[in-house]
Amino acid sequence: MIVGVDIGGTFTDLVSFRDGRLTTEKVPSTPTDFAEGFRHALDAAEATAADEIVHATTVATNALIQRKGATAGMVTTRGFRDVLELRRRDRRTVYGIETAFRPLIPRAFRREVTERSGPDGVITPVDLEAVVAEAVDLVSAGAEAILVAFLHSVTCPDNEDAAAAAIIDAFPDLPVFASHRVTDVRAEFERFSTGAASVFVGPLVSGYVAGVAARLDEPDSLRIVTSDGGLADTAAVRANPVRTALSGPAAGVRGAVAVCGEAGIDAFVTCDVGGTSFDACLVTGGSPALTRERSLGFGLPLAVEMLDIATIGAGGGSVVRVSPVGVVEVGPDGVGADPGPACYGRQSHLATVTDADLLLGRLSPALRLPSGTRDLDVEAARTTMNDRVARPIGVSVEAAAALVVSTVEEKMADQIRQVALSRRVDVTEHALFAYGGAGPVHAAGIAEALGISRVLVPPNAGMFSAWGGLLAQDRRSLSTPCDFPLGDGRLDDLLRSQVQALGDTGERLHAVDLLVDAVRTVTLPVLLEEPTTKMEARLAEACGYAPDIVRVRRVATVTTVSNGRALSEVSLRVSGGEGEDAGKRPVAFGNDEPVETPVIDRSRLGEGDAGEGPCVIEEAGATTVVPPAFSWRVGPRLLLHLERRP
Amino acid sequence: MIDPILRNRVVSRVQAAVDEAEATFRSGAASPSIRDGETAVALFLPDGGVWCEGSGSAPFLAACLRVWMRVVADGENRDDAVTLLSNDPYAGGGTVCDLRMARPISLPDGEHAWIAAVAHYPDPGGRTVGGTAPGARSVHEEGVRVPLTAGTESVLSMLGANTRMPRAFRADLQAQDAALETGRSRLDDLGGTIGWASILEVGLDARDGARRAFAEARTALKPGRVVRRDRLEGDGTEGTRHLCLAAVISGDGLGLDFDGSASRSPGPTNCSRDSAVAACLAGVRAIFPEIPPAGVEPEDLEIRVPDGSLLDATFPAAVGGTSEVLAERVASLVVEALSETVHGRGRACDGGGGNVIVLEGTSDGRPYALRLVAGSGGGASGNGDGLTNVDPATRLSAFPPVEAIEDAFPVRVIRMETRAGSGGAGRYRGGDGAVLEIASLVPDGRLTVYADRGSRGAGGHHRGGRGSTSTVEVFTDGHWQPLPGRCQSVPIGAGDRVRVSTAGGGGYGHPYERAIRLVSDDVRSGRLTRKDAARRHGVVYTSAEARDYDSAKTFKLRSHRLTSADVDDFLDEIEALDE
Repeated sequence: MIVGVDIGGTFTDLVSFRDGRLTTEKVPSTPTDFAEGFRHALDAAEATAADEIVHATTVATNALIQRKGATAGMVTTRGFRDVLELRRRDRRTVYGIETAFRPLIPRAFRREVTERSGPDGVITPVDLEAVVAEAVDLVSAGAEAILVAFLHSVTCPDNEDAAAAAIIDAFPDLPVFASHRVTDVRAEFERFSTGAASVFVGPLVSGYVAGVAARLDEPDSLRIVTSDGGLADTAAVRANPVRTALSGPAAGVRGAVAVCGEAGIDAFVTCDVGGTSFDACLVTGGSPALTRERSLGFGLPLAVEMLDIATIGAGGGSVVRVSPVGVVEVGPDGVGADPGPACYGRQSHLATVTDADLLLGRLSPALRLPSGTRDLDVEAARTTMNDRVARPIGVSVEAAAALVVSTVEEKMADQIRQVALSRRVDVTEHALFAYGGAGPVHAAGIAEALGISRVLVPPNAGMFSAWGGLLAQDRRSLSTPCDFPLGDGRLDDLLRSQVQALGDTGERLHAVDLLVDAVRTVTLPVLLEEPTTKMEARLAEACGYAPDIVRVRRVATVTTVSNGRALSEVSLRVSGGEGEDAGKRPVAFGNDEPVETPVIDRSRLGEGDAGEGPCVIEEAGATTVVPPAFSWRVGPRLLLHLERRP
Repeated sequence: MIDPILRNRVVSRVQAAVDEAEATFRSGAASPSIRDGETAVALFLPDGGVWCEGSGSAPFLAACLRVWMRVVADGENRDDAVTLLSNDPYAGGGTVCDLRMARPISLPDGEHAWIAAVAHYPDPGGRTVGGTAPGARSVHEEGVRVPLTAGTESVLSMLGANTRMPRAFRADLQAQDAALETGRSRLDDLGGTIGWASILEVGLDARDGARRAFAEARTALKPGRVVRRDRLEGDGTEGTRHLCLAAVISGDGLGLDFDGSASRSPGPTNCSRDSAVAACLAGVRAIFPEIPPAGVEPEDLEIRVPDGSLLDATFPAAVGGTSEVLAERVASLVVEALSETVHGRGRACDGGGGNVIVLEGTSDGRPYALRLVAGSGGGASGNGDGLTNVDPATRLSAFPPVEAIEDAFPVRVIRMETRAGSGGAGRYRGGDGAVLEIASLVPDGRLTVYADRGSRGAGGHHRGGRGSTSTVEVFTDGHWQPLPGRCQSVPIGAGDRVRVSTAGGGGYGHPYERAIRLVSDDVRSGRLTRKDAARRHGVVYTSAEARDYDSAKTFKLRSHRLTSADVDDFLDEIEALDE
């Protein structure tokens, strides 16, 4: 039996396969102790004895965003106590009032010791007595974990390793992290910040993972999805907890890569829309883009390898407002599951995207969720939309709702455009792969805004991230520091030799991560069909300027090992079907008048079924809107294809 | 009446196009300063008024671009195919580092809209990299000046031939050009689908809406006249000089009068009239961040700059101090004056700009030039303490990693840390400045310093205290000695050090109103000594533990029932606790 679990802010999703038979569970998340919800889901599915449990977790993300983590201490190079606080001198907004920034480790818990390394080696050996004395002091002040973060520790790790070892000697049970072992970025703020995140969430993540594993019949069966879409066992997660920061979104992208790979689609953009956020990842050549330049908020960069997933605050629950000059704005804040959109009937002062979808007929007033049907209050949505949007700008409620939908879809399309721009690819040649509760509702609109002609919606789209983790692959990174100019052929030589070294081990060269000008990282996926001899030209293109001013400072190859799991073993089907269509209801597309639109129950569709828009295809937890300009068909594995007619 | 749906669509699409142009510029540029934010991109209406600005554009650069576009739009009929270019400080503001480009977008009826971009280039030639030569007596020493001209290949090569960083310069120029092209092409597409007539109509209507919103927001300012003065340190050519601003708020207008400001300096602490106007715009927008850029036009602000003053530099006066000092001080004065007149939007002054050090020389036979700018403390506001280590409100830039600096230059960074306690006291304290100390590893270096706020700290607001002043010291011949804030070609040998301690931000509210919990936090984290806690915040500690304070003495002190003589009696006792 194999099980996939995704814990979101609202629901904990579980998919399990017993002898190839799929069952799903959706239970409320328990934010005070996420392990509790996890256990409920496992119990409900009778899955504690599973052979493998793949888990996408938000424990680290939530702790970092809400600043609820361990009391952490830091021992650092004399003169650099405040690296975390000084940042790179940025600020939150261009014009607004700024307030103080509070780093994850407060100043009283940041201690200096005498030591120094330079780019070429140790200058002053570390004073280990002082290190231990500071550690003793920190622990007595309440530190639950300690970060050792020294300058130049990536090129010269001796002092940092010695200091970490000395603290571990003194406190064998204390989590101690050395910054260069968390990330090998040669920029102190980014590395220290990533290290600080590790000590901040470390005790929490370790405790959570141990708590979950303890409930399983076979604790080793637990595997955690990492931010780069790989898998880690509990020991690896404890060693580098911050690697799980984007676990949930990464699991979804992994699933999308597997599904599209089988369907022969190697260029697409994932479009995951939930209640509060929109996550997009660009996939070219079958490989998702990787990055080490993500930050989880102001002053909190996480320089570990992650799938390059762009996130904005735009989802079904995003709040709609009218600006002082009469322009409709959506998000970034949302209403969450409680109180929820106005149509949930628990608040009437904030209009949301879901209210607009309901008013346009895009969502059913009897919304089907995995947990059952939820009746939505159309009149409440109408009143709030009128008060908050329609009247202030002087249009009808229907026009206001249409405007809200097009605004949020354009905003999502802009985000995808930005990602494509930074990667210098033409997004119109990509497909859009939509999932999450609200993804398929807006996918066709986003595709139209981008000039994309094909949209793909997997079955059980609302629980896709829980399932996607099952297709995550083991990944291994190998980092080679170097220093040579781009364009003299040495990069290609290096890559060729690494590909040869892999031989037929079953591992595959996956991505190359280049550090440019000491600070800027460019991560490039290696196209499968392409020989590795063109990387220099591609890097120059990705940087956008002449290669002769770029130096290659690090080459990291990421190899993946297939876990041998075939898509057929974990084939998804549509859940919660009623087996018959719900007839018709009026749905408005764009700014047009509503038209009577067929509503199709997705659970009765089989491979080969096809039809023309407009229509609405419903399954529990996800609604796919097919506008008039689109046709649809069901492909292998019940993947729904939407094509825009030329 | 414009269809609200159309208005929304056009406004959001135009913004997206300009933002994409801005992203194209940043992602394509080679110079870290340009990548990290010293850029602005904007779209202009045919009359030269701003239509839309990039969401991440640097405030002063963006404002200069607007002032410059007035010059461009007033010119002769321009050829569609020609991109215009200039870095003339006297016609558009800024310094010779600020290279501006504009490209026309053809509209029906022979009119043009304009997409324009500017960046603060790291080296336009001149005596020192960065265009800031403290000893400069004229613009000739600051770099090559290009009056408004067509951006042909030959002009660009001429500029490239004068910089010390020709390859990066070339890449930056290409990125700037690509930004304009991206913007133009997106807007052309939009014109094709929606129609230019509608787009233009929405643009003009949106500007009217924004101006109405500003007029409305302005009514929050209390009518009257507020006078604020600020002191600039000498730049090596003359002593202390004053800036003076009278903000006059009446029912229908907002006047900013700089009458009484010092006369033009023979050195570089000047700015052109255009720069002064741009800085005023940036200051007003800092107070009204929610108003779209088109809502505030320079002519809405009755700006008066006295002839011959240091805000009225004309050719060939040196203006190198514009971006580091004057733009920031002018904007800061505007913020300070308006803060007095408005509820809820006010804030204390930022520690400000300056803080530039340039170390030049040769290492292994190759020339090097390291230019670093440290941040200072941000002003506190009713929202909380100020931000530590931040750019002045007029600028957006970033500090490079110390590891990268040491990797590329023959220096060792001895410390880069918070200047604890430098923020002004207050219910909310000002942000702290930073301390940057660097040692040269090679002989025969030359040091240039351009610091600011060395004689008078950033002002507080609502009885908040001033932030600390900045200091510059140099360590040579075995001992530390202070340097003037503006100096050039100071010899630096191997092992010599320079240390810049930047100014703190001003505090907000009376220091005695600061929560004791926050004072204790500051004491515990080493930002405040116990003695200063008593003297500045009226909290009296009785032991080395930060939570042990004497509530009776604290109460008496904070309710002004103790005299300063009483305080002196126990200050010595407290001082012993700090040891």
